[in-house]
This record gives sequence, structure tokens and C-alpha cells, in this order.
Amino acid sequence: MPRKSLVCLFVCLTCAGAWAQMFPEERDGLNALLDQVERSLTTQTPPLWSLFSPLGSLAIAGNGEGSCTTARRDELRRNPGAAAAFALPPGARATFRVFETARELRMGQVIFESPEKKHWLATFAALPDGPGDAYRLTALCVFPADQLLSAGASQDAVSVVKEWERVVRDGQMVELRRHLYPEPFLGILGKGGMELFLYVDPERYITMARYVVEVGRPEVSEMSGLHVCSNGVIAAVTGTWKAPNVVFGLGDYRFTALLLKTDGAWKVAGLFMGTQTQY
Amino acid sequence: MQARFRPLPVLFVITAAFGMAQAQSGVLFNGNELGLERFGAGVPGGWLLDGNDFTWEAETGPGRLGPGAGRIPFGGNGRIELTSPARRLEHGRPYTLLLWFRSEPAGAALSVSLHDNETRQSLAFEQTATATPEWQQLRITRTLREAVKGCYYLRLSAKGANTTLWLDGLWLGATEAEPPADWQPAWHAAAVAVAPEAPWGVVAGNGPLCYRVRVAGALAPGARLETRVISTSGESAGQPALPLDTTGSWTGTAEISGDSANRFGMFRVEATVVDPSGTTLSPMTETLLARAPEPFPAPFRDSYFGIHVKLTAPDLEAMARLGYKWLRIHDASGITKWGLIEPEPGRWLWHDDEVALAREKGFFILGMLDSAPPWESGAQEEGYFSIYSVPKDPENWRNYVRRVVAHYKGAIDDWEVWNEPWNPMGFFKGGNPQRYTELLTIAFTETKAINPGAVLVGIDTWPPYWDAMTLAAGAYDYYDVLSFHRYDPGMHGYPNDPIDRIAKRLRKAQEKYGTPKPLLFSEGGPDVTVFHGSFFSFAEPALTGDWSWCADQYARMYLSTIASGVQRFFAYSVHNHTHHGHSTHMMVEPGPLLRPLHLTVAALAHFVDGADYVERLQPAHDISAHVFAQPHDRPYATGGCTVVVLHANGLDPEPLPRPVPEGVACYDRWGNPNAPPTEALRSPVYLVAAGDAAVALTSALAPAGPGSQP
Repeated sequence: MPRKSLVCLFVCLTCAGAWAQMFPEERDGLNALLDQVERSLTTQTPPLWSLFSPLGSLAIAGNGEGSCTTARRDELRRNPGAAAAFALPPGARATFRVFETARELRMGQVIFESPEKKHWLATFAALPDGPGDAYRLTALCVFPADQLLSAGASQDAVSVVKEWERVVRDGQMVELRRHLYPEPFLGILGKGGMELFLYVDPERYITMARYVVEVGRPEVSEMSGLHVCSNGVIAAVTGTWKAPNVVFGLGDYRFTALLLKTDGAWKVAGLFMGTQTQY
Repeated sequence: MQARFRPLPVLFVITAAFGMAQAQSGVLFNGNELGLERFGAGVPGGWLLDGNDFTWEAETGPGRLGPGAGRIPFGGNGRIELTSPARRLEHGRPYTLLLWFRSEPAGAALSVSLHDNETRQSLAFEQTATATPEWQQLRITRTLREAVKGCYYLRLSAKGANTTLWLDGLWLGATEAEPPADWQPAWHAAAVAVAPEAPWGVVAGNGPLCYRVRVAGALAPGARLETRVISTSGESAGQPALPLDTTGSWTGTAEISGDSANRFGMFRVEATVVDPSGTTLSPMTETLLARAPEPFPAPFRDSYFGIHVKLTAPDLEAMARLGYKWLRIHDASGITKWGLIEPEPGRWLWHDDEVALAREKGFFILGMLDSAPPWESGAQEEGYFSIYSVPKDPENWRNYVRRVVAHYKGAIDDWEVWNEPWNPMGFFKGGNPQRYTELLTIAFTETKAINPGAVLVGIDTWPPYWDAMTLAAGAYDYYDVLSFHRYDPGMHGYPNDPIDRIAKRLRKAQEKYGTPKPLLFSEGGPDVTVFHGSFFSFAEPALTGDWSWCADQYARMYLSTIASGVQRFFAYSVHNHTHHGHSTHMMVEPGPLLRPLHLTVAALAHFVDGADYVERLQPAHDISAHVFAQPHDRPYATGGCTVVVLHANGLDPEPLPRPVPEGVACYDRWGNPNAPPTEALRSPVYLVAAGDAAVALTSALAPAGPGSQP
């Protein structure tokens, strides 16, 4: 990775991490999960599927040749070929980790570096539903990071995410349908009221979101602090969304969106968001 | 009538993909997107029929398309409104709508329109017509504008005063831009409609599953009704053919037969009229039936299972057969809401017959103390929310509480104070936690004075600030049970799931003020949209979701309620019947007919109502085995037994670390006997054992040692 790009990526992730408000034990728990992820990606032990939550899962691996592999937990478990697509070279290590909290969700990004100085960006979301309340992945998106597009060249992905801001303000959620990746799709919303809205079906997500916005349309819908990392095929967009709503709940949301480009259009395959409120 | 203009062949491919076209040879598919073509048999399954002051008969005399028209005599204020199920159509291409009609005397008024299923906006075919004694054909060709989800529904309404309306030949299909003026599709000679005998199509236990059949039209000698039954267990079985006569109007009753008929679950009956050569004479039509396992005997106050439903005999009978034991009134009938029962000062409307009917059917009622008549609150708005403003005078509220609690004492002894008072924009306009606590205090004090044995349910929280602030305002001493609402599309039942966390939070919130009081999940559901699943063959997954998923989700929501130590759950709702495909809370098809999710809850109620929840075992981290002690004689065991409800915590199958021991009876999610499971699935299954087998079962399901499964 060119030094300038790497510095930009660090700064970008560090800025995102400035939002993190995490208790030490949460940080320890996430570090334990990411240690296991590192071992799994580089040695296939433990198997990658075992690090995922069964409540809902999304795995995306970019192969660096303009394509990607997608899978859910069960496919990783039963299809060795799918799991193999996520392998990193032996000896690759995490050189940077950043975490943030969004209700029950924990989200973050990791830079892996191989002994040959190649780099991968991993974006993840996790829930504490493992043994002893250990964190497990609900989403993991890994792609080569040595040829990342500039932020300017990635604005088409950002503009898709910004559609959420607009349609909520306008009360036109169904317009999002064209931006949703059909399968696999995973949307998780950690609400202020302690619900964990989890969708594996984009139609269901959009129908529910439409209803929610109809019955309690927010007066404000503003996104800020948007950061994007993209290789042209996969994009990870993080940011903050202010959209107070009687049904959504109060407070700002932190979100991470994972997008895939298909037929020239970016579509959201994963959307993870939650308030930073704690009860 | 001979077809000289052919509907576009591509349409066959499109409709076949959505289950509308029959694939076997000899089937006539005439391009009609609507299951209703000839009107003489009535309305097919999935259509919503509303109206008043009318009857509906088959015309056996000659008509524009032969015998088989619908003959609809209107009284002085007759009206019908028909709404089709939502259908996927292709925007940007021409469709033609045809309808034959006449009235005698002239004057019946018709209107048609095609709507976007999501926005309900009229997109095409908007037209009105006045009928004359001569047959006329409504004939419109339009290019469809895009619907949000690509799905549309047709609305056909008619009204008349002391006239008879004939309807026939409804056809909607893709055509060329302007079909030739004399073009007609290849009309079916006949129509058939099937409908269940039992209310909502549900029987409990081993009762016969019967359906009524109406056939109308020109039938050749030797014509017969061919029927196929498809079950939620995946079985599909042909039924014995019913011979039909040639009178032009045939009615009869049939019973589902064969091995699958005795199983629990839902059944779709698909019926078609065929001639002796096997050629179809009618469009295929369908209805839905259900067999629920025998419910726990009613009344049963400690039941876990509640629902919102209208207080009418067929609705109550259907809910009783499914095993629901409690009714929360709220807007399912509104019979205790102040805003509805005192429409003007001092004039009270009582609903004693409805309450008595519900009690006769074995239900307990959670009455609502809430709302205020606009004359009292000063609310200016019209409609549903006009009664949901805070009362002006607490003494008026006190008087209302006294009157209603005293009137229904002995019939309704459980009262919840206000629906969703945390919502100052909707249900509690002008309210706040302090005002709510004031109303709660009055309600509690007056209720206990009049009916000391009554149970008062309060708080009715959703956002955490609401319970925190009402408790801080002094609410703790003025309720017996704390209620909460929750709509959540997740797959519940796993440890520390959202319902469990809410229960823990609410217990902790009360601890500051005293011993935590019992909790009640008084309203909620697996979703607030139509994603409850449908067992109709034409159900559009993008609109109704996956019925199998929803069947698991709904049962697991009740299961989570029980496992979290919450008294019971009142699902919302089945009290309104909108058109098939409409996005709504209502977990019911037009008819009304059931959706599969009620049958998995019926099975859960069959096994665990009357039983005590003992513990959750986790043979592996991602598997839950909920252990119940069932002390009552039940169809599956006498002298008491252990019931285990087993499921994977998530969406994926999880292998069981140890086999299910011998001597354990196993049942699937519908309550059918099944082979012992080797893995836990998303679907709950039931394991029943007594004595040594029960001990062996709980041992086999005990937590595995460390490292056995991540």
C-alpha cells in the first residue's frame, strides 16, 4: 500500500474510532474476538463459521480481481470452498483496530498486514451472544486494501447511503428498495427500547422501515462524519445518523453499511446501526 | 365464445412463476390474472368482500356468457365492494380489463379501479358505469404505471336501490395496446368457490375438516370437481372427484380425506371444475383450512396465550380452538373505552352480550380503562385518535372508572390503564408521566374499592424513559402487574433475547421502589406489517414474507415471553380483515381465514399451557431446551409429564450433542408425531417424557462440557 494511502486509511479509521465509548471489558471482549478472527483467517482454526452468531450473519470477501464471495454462517460451515475465500496469508497480523458501540451492536474495522506488506481491510459487526456473553460476528467484510479508491472516487457508494437520510426525511422509505442487495442481506438495528431488529430479508426490512417512518417520521434526518473505504467492488461506509423518532427511539445512531457493486450499481448488503444510548 | 385474439404468451411464463397457472395438460389458461371470472359461485379465496343489504346467487338462466353469472339483488341501500388479492403485474405494458354487467331495473352503479398495493393510489382502469337491463361490457385498455413493489389490486364496487345486478366475465390480462373491438378471451364455462365450514376454517383435535363447494355455469354431462389438498407439512394429495350436475348451480360439502387429513397444520384446498376429458371448465380456486391440536381446557386463568379479536361468535370460537385463553379489548372492539361508551354525558353504552359471549367461550378479558370522549377532553380532531386525549377533569375520569368497573364486575376483573400512554403524539395527547400516574392512582383506588379482587395492570411501557418516569412519579403502589408493548421482527427464544432483556430491565426498574411486580406483555407482535406469511398459492413473498419463517417466529415470541417469566402475551391482532397483500398488523386473511403462524402457537399452547416453566437447558451454546412440568392429563400424556420445547437459538441447524433417549415422544412444530430430532432447528419441536424417560431426556439435554461446541 502506498504510504500516503495507508496514512489516510489510519486517519480515517481513527476519526471513526473517536466515537467509540466503550467499557474496558467490552474492548477486551472485542479484542478476544478479533484475535480469533485473525487466527481463523490465517490458519483456518477455529473455523470461521464458529465465530459468527446464528442470529443473522453476513460474510463478504473481496478477491482483488473485481469480484467477491458472499456467504452466511451456515454456508461457511457446510461449504469449505466458501470458507476458503476468506483465507489470508499465513503470518498476516492485525496492525490496527478500531471499535465503536451502537446499542447491543459493536462495530469496527481492522487492517491486516501480511509479511509481504500486503494489506486487507476488515469491517465487522458483532453481538454479545456467544458463550459467557462473548462477542460473535454478525458481519465480516474483508477485502484487499492496497488499491483503495480515493474518498472522492468512492462518493457514488456514499451517495447510496445518503439516500437513507433523504428518504427518511421525505417519508419515502420504499425508494430504498432499489438499493438493497437481494441475498445475502442483513440489517440490524439496535433500538433504544432494547429491541434488536434483525432482518435477513430486504423486502421485510423495507416494509417495516416504511411503516416505522410513516407512524413516527423524524423531524430531523442528518448524516455526518461519513467515511468510506472502497476497492470499487466492495465499500464500507461508516458514520452517524441523527434521526430521532418515537418508534426508532431517541438519540444518534452509529452505523456501518457494507455495499456491493453489481451491474454498475452499489447495493447495500449489510446495514448495522444502533443508538449510543445505554440503559 | 371463441378467442380470436391471443393474450401475450409471455404472460403465461410470468404468471406460472407466481403459481397462478396450472402446469398439467388439459388446463385452460386464458390469460386472466384474476381468480374471479364468472361470478355465480361467489368470491374465491383471497378476495375481500364487503357490503350490505344484498344477496348473491347464481344465475342459472342464459346470460351473456351462458349460465353462471352472479345475480345480486340489492335492497333499498345495497352495496358491495370486492377487492382482489395483490397481484404482480408488469408495468409499462398494456393490460385490458373486461367486465359484463346489467341491472334490472336500470340504475345500479359500478366503479372499478386498479391500485398500487403499497400506496393504494389508483393507477389504472378508474371508471364508473351505470347498468341498464341490457348486458354491457366494460372494456378498458391501459398501459400500467409502475407500482412501488410491482403489485396491484383491483377494486370493484357496485351499489343500487331495489334493483338486481348481474355481473359476469371479469378479465384482466396483458394484451396488445388495443385488442380488436370484437375480441373476447376464451371464457371459462364455469366457476367454483370453496370455503371452510368451520369458523376461520379451524377445527381442534380430530374433528372433520370440511369445506363447502359452490359451482355455477354451463356444465357438460359428466363434469366433476377435482380437488387437491396441500399441507404445511409438505404433503400434497388428490381428493376423490365430486360428480356435478348440469343445473347450472351446484352446492355441496366435502371432507378432506387421506392420511394427511388427520395431521395438524394448515391445508390449502385447490379446486377446479373439469369435463369428462379432463379439460378445465373453471379457474382454479382455493381456500384454507386448519387443524389445531386439542387446546388446554378453558377457562384457564394462568394461560400464557392472549390475542386481540372481535367479540363475535365465529371469531371467538376460532380463537378458542387455537388455544388462546385471554382477550385484550383495546381497539378490537373498544367496549370499555370511555371515549366510545359515554358518547354524551350520562349516556352509557354497555356491551353485556358480547362480554357474556366471550366468557361463555371460556375467555378471560383484560378490559381497558382508557381514552376520553371528545366532549370531555375537548379534542377537536376526528377519527380514530379523537378519543385519545387526556381527560380534562380527573373527577370525570374517576366517575368513568367507577361506572365501568362496577358494571362489568365478575365478568371483567382485570383492567389495564390506558393504551400506550408513552406516546404523547398519538394515544395520550396532552399527557405526561405525572398525568398518567394521577390517572393510574385514581383507577387503582376506585377499582379496588369496587372490586377488591380485581387486578390492575399499569404503566404499559415501551421506551425506557416512560417506566422510569412514571415510577419516579409514584406509580409503583398503584398497579398489580406492569405491562409493556413490543413489536420485534427478530427470531426470539434465545437466552437474553430482547424480550428477556426488557423483562430484566423492568424488574430492575421496579426494585428501586419495592419488590418487582409481575410483568405482562400486553400488546405486540412479530411485525407491524403483512410479513406474517400466507399459505395461499398466489401469495407474493415480497408482500407477505415466508410463512414458514413467520410460523416459527410467532411461536418463539410466545415461548420467549414464558421463558422470561412474563405472565402472558397478547398478540396484535386479528380483528380486521383487509385485502390479501395489504401491509397491516392483522395476522389474518380475508374471509377470515388463518395464516400458518396461528397453528404453531396452537401447538405450543397444546403442549405448555397448564404447565410450569422449569428451566432452560442448553445442550450446546446455540441450542435451547425449555423444560416444562405438565401436571395435567393431556392427549399426549396422562399422570403428568415433562415437556421440552427444543429449538436452535438462531437461524441455522445445530447438531444435538447427544441423541434423544428412548421412550421420548417427539412432535413437530404443528404437534404431529415425529422422529426424534438429531439437530435443533429454527422450528420449535416438542419432546414429551415421563418417569425415567424424563430424567434421561433432561440428562441428554444438559449442558455439554466445555469445548464441545463453540
